[in-house]
Amino acid sequence: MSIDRRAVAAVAVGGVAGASVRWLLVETMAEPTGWPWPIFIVNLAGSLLFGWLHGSDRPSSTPHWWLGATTGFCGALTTFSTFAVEVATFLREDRFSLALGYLVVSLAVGFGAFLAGSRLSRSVVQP
Amino acid sequence: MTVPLFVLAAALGALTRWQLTRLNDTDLHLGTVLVNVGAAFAAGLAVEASSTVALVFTTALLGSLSTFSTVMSELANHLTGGRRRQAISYLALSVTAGIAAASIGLELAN
Repeated sequence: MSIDRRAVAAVAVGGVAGASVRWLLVETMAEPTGWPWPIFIVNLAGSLLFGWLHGSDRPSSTPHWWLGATTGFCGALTTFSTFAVEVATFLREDRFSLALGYLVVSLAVGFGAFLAGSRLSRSVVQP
Repeated sequence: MTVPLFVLAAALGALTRWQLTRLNDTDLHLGTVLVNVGAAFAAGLAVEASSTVALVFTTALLGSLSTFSTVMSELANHLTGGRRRQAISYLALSVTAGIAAASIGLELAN
């Protein structure tokens, strides 16, 4: 199997950019004691952007920049591991309503953002 | 030294996820489940790590390895394809296994 070097570069560059933006947001925002706003925001924004890119995808060709932007940038901007640790930590602290609320709202808002991004780009890019 | 390590770890995380998600030909997207559950366990385990380790390992490597937006994308693909049962199974598996893995990691770390 041959390695597509440009695809590797696109995913790597997108991944580093996504992780850097996530780190910047976590660093600049105050460390949350309740609702984990930094991770909530990156997961929301990344899902919105992924939806936008998904909606404007042309299935006949998947260009490298698209792979870098979706799998690379959006994939790395958003995080499931920190999200899961946050929920698990709330559960350990017996903060059940916060754990459940954060879990459900993150999933609902993330999914809504993905659909909104997807529909928006279809109506703007391909009217 | 932290910046090059951060860059390397973030790139490695994204590339590993990209390669593993190529396993995603099943209804449950097991490649994505694998990276998310594995990263959740490791992040729980590393919760008491020093700030440099936390930055490189947890934020860059595991944060980049795991993904939330891809889960949303795969859910949307299931639902627009009329595969409601697969969507629910995939979401339930990702969430329960991810939180369980993080909890076990946290338990072992403490």
